Amino acid sequence: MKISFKLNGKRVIVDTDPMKRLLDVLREDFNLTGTKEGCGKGECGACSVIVDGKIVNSCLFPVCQAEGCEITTIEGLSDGEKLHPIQKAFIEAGAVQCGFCTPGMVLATKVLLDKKKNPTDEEIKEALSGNLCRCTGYVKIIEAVKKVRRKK
Amino acid sequence: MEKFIKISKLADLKKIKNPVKFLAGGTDIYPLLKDGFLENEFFCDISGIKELKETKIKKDVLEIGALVTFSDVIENPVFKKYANALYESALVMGSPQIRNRATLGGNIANASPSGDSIPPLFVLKAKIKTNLRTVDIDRFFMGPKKTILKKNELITRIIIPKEQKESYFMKVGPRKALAISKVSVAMAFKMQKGVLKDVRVALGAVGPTVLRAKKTEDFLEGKHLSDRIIKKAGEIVSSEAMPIDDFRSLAVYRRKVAGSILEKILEGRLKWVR
Ligand SMILES: Cc1cc2nc3c(=O)[nH]c(=O)nc-3n(C[C@H](O)[C@H](O)[C@H](O)COP(=O)(O)OP(=O)(O)OC[C@H]3O[C@@H](n4cnc5c(N)ncnc54)[C@H](O)[C@@H]3O)c2cc1C
Ligand code: FES
Ligand code: FES
Repeated sequence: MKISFKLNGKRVIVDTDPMKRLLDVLREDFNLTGTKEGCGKGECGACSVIVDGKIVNSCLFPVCQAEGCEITTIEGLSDGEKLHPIQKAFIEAGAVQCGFCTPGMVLATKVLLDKKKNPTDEEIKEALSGNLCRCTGYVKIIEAVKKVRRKK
Repeated sequence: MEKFIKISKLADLKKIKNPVKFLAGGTDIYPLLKDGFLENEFFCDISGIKELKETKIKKDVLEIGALVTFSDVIENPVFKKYANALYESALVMGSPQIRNRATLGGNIANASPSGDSIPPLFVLKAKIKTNLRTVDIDRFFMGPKKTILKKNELITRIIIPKEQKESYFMKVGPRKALAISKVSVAMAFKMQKGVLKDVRVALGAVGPTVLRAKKTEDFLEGKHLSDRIIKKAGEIVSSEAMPIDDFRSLAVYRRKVAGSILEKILEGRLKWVR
């Protein structure tokens, strides 16, 4: 089945199994390996991408439903070599250890900050509740989100 | 040949010739695929049927499309207004990622005893409309993962009467544990001068399906809300819950939790009366 969508600002077409996971299409057909597979069952958020402004798990997303959508992966966030302010804040706050959860965390943060300029701690925790991190204990991640908030 | 079709209109259902597995948000289907189940299914993607994404406010009822997501339930203010228990269940369901994709139709069809929309729909007297018929929610579930749906029968809408009543939902359990280990209670009633009328109580994850707590409903009907009545109602709920597992201590725990959730809901309401 031919499926066309906008990926990180560019129009693309793939011809593939309609039930293939968006996660596999991103990694295998487009070589966008910033999107990670953790659990493959919707529980860890490592595979999070933004579809039409909403955060979703790409491991549960049939590629056929991407038809006509706008999709942003972590690769679509930086401007060439220039990091996105959220990425900078994560590095500065020491919110990245092994980095496996980071792409998903950063994208979930982007969706939050696009909607709310000044989220409370509670709102930050809620927005990131679908993203697990085994390394940092979350404190530094929340600090990072607040850092972006202060800079804006 | 690919074992897949996509339909974009309800009328296209008639064109389907073989038995299919409907695909909505995929949040129940993909974890199963990952574990090697459903491999031989012929999938029918219904996510493009626009008319099933709408929620309409009619004169007497709320008509909710089966493709409405839990995020839609949080964002569209009509749910808080006419179906507060459903709204409260959406707030605590899954994660933001799951809520953005999970549909009400999928939650109902999946028929898990811990499906979070189900206890609210029981107490809100919902009707489930399919392409073939309209059924009271009380008659929709047959057992864990079993419903009255026939092969290729599609849930199209959920109909909720717009009565003036209050409804609540609460879910309690170990944090980060599997959804199924959390007990939930939904409750609806009318409050007239401190007296409860038209009481409905439903329990999630304490039996093979979501259960109505009929003895508790009968006990509370017509009662003046007080600390003593609340305590007694909590005890009755605990005796009505039929926990899924035979594992003794867990079963006792779940019953107790169901009782204390009901008490919490009513205590919250009592404070507001005073
Ligand atoms: C990490 C995670 C956390 C979760 N947490 C919760 C939770 O807290 N509470 C909760 O209740 N659930 C939870 N779920 C379960 C799931 O998200 C819900 O049951 C969801 O509502 C299913 O909807 P869907 O659109 O994704 O269904 P799908 O996966 O597309 O379909 C589910 C089933 O319903 C059938 N179906 C779908 N739509 C229709 C229709 N209109 N008519 C007839 N049949 C239909 C499908 O054929 C399939 O059998 C969780 C799932 C995951 C992966
Ligand atoms: S890989 Fe998708 S949620 Fe874990
Ligand atoms: S930094 Fe390792 S999982 Fe989050």
